[in-house]
Amino acid sequence: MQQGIGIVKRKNPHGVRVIPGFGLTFGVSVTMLACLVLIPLASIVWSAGRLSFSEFIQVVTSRQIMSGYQVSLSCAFWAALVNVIFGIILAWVLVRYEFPGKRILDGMIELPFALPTAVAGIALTTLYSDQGWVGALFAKAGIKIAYTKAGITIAMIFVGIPFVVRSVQPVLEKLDRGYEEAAMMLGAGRIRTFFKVILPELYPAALAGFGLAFARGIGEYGSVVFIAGNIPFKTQIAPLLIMSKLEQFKYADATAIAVVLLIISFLLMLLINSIQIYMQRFHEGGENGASLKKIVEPYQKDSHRPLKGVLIAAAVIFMVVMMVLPLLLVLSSALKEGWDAYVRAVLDEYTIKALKLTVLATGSAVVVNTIFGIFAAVLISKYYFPGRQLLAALIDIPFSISPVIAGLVFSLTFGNLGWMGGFLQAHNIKIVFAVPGVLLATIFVTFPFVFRELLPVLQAQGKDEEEAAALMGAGKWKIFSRITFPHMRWALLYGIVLCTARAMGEFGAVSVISGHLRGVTNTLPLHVEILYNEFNTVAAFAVSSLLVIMAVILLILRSVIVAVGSKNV
Amino acid sequence: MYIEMKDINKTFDGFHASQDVSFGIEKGHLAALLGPSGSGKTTILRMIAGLDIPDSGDILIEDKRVNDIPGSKRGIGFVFQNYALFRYMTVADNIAFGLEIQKKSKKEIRERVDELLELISMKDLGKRYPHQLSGGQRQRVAFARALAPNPHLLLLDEPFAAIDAKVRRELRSWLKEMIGRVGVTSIFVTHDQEEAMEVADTIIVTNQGRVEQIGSPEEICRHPATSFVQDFIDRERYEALRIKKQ
Repeated sequence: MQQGIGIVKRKNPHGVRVIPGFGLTFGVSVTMLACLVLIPLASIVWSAGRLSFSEFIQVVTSRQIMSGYQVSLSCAFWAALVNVIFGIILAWVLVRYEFPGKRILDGMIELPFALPTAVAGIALTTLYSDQGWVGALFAKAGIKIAYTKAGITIAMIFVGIPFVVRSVQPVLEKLDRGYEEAAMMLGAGRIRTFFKVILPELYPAALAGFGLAFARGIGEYGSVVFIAGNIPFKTQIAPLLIMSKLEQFKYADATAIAVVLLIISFLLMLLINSIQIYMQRFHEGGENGASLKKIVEPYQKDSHRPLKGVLIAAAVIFMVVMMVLPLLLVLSSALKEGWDAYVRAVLDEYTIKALKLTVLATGSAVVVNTIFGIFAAVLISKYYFPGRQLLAALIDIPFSISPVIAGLVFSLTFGNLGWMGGFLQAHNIKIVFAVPGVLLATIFVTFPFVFRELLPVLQAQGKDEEEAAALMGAGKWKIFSRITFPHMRWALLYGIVLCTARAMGEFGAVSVISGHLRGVTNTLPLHVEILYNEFNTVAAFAVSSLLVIMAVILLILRSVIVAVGSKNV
Repeated sequence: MYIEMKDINKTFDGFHASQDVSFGIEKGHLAALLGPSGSGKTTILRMIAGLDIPDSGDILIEDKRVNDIPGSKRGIGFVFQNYALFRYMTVADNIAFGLEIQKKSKKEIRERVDELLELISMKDLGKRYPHQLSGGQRQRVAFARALAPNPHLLLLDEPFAAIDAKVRRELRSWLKEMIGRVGVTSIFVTHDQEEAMEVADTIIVTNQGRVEQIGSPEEICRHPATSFVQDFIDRERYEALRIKKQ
């Protein structure tokens, strides 16, 4: 997963657009963004405006809500901190060492992106409950994990780890070996070199990873809500409070909680971006133009043996406990009552219906977001116009807000109490608690995925080739099909796989808007939740196993695309 | 001979970076490894520093075989091509880094850092970070950092490659003067023959992993030993340089 969008600043004093097709790409991108993201988001403002300032303060400062913020923020903070430590270890091990199973370890990092959060939630809960494989070990020592803040933190560690690893890994790969060699020539040992020379180089990336993991932790719903146990004043997270206000149809209260959450996320991102911009100035001090590629020997030659073993062991144990055990638990629980019970659960009428809806929602999200991603990425990378950076930032919004808030904005827009509610009722159109709502919510949460993968590739390519073709008289479709598209092929595939994985597993947003109508608006992840809450554990895990299989297939596809794509660039 | 390379061979993935390389450099000399890019000059420098290990042959420093001694224990200062200054440390901290590792006292470190800052005429810039310096200043800091632990041998990898042409000439004579003043045996890598002729008192010409000739600038220019050296060295430039010096 690519983190952060760096837009190449290029002055275009004459404002000449050589490449044709600006009007079309601009029109399509902005229209789609407005209809699918910005207008629904604006509902938050509309809804918040219905509370007076004192009412607003009263809602968000009530004891229950304050405790919700406190739980979400503190657990997300500790989880992000743990993720920074293990994320750096994992990235280090993956970049610097060779060992059997390395490719598998690398491929597994993305599991939390691909595995539906509800599946992760019930698997982690079972694993860390007092009778669970891991929970039982701690229960003997008198430590409870599930239904405590420790449990919430573990779930947040699970969802956040890929952010840190995938931020730090590329920086470590590109790090000039000169720094280490310089430290070594001055007599520094490996430990000192790491802490004094390498670690400072990783701070900006680790910080970015920390921020993303922290933000994701604050907003996370599906994987946390099961293990939290939702004990008032103790383990209720903020997104859950939004959810319960919505269930009581207190839309204004839900909005107020969401607004505070959005402000916290915004301030957090602002802080982290400022630190990063500050640290960037140090960056140019290291390079001086001519960094000629030297012949570099493989790293394992000089690697410090005992340390290497310890670090690989730490990385592997972390991944086994956080990723492999939950997967094994899903499969073993699904088959606990034998093959026949498993088949029965999988072939159940409601499971099949939920599967069909999941396929429909995922398909719509992939089609819509692929079209949008291509237009928007071409628009931002190939044309110069004022407001480009703002547009890129707006496209990223769905990525950084809680799925529960995403569900909320659609309820506020299309629900019976929403601002379009009266109009929709008059024309007998149902969106909320109906299939269109499920589709819209899925499209919303996966909106930036294809775009984010395409943009860096197109930006790296530049626009010289397009300009050359345009000067030779090629039209916009010819330029796109012959020049731009061939450059983006692999990134496009990659983006589609990520989009599919995320859409298939979307839980929080869909949960808010679907109304959980069995056989009508239930997707597979929602179906898992219902079965689990009905204590039909075997069926819940059987349905989960379908999602696990799909997630694993997507992860393998991802690894293949990365491997083949890197050879074909 | 102070430094001696004996029948050194080194291959990278089948590419012969060094073939039967043998030469010696006397104490106090300033030698240039000169050759076109890909001729194996940087590999030789990195092997002397212990950053690469030869497949066969011996590296001797003061008649002691150092092949199995790690680079950090060979008493070598190394100036990297792009300087590899630690970006998140101040100029003073960069220079002090090697001294801290030697567990020198705070006072000793401060004195040595001040002395070196004085030497590179950057007395008041110790608190700056690398990004606040010009290219020439960065090079001088890299030089001071390498000299701080009092190495017996100074190695410089293309020390002027990252500097723009205007400052380069100035820095060349500065470096020659500094090295003369400190009196440390030095080897630098360059692909620029004018640079080699102006700065070095011994030139080692390399080509395709082999040493073509070793000698003073005058010997190399007036009596090229191989047809490669004859083609590679521009004798007219050398004579012009000599006239200019006089």
